[in-house]
Amino acid sequence: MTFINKQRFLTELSKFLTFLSDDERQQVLMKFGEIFDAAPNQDELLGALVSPLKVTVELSRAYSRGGLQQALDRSVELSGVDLSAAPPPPSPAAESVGADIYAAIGSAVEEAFESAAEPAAEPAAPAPAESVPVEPAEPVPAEPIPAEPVPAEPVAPSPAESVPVEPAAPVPAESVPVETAAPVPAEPAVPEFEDTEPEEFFDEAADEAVPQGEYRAKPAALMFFILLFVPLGLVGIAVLLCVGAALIAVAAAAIGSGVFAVSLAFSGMAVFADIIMTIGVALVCLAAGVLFLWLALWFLIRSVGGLVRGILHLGKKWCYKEVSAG
Amino acid sequence: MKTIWRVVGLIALGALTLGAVCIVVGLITGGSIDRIIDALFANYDVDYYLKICQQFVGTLF
Repeated sequence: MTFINKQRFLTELSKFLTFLSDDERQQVLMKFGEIFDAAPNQDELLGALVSPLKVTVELSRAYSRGGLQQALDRSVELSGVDLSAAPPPPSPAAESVGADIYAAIGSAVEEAFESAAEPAAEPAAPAPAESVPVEPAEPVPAEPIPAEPVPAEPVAPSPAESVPVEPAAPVPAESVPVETAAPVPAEPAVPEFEDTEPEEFFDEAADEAVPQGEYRAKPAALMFFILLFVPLGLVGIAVLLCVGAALIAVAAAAIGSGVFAVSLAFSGMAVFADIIMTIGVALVCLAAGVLFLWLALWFLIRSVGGLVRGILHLGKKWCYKEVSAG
Repeated sequence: MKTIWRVVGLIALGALTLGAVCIVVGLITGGSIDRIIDALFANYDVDYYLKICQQFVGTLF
């Protein structure tokens, strides 16, 4: 159970360490691997670390202050584990088990990625650790790891499913302190941003794919259209302007009446009830004036603009013909 | 446009409601329309303005 928690902690931590490069992230994970190995009680260690997110925040602050070394030192501080008092280097079999931890993390994330890529596929079966090829560097015959088979976690409920991860290139064996010839798969890099918008909305190539034609004018139709529709359009615009002016006049009359009523209420009235009534009439007149004024402006904008656009559209349709560019 | 329509409508509706309330309150508290018309004709030369309006309409039609 402790091993599972450790594996999950490292997996979650590797997802959060996006501000580090692959090599730096690998070093931090190796450091935490050493810390977990040196810890006398891993449950207490996990309690001291609280959560991968909290560790990530602390590491981020330390990294911004002093770089990777500061982050590694901070990792040791957070854990409270004395690495100098760590037990002697483990045996080759133990090293293989230690290497399997990172291999299992990598395989678990890879399986999560594959299952996310294949939605119809069934949930990934637990991958036994024996499937990870581990070959010792020395000619000592490789021993299987029967002591602690490392089952990869079923990734079905893992949040990694919702985040498509891409496994990074394997880290060379020289950068791994564990002496094993097998390349340790690097922790998958979580993409920080994935563009899920359809490309056709922003892709200029999609616009270029639409055949662009040229328009050629038909002189006779153009002359006829200008002679006929320019005067008609002008007349139409004049009529619309007159209607708009009438609406503006009504609005002005209403607003003027309201102002007039207000002045009457405060100049020639003696009874309070009459003053209140006159102010009420003034407010009604002002409301109608504001409404008519905006109605006139809206009518002018929409009608005159629409008439001009309609005439131009009609002229383009009648007087121009489209010639393919090719 | 929709925003402007909404703002203008709200202003007009508010003024209209307030005006209606004022008229009703004035009528309830003893206001008289005849008295208001008398005050209007007593303070302003309304006939003059009516004549101007009639001349303007006569020139148009």
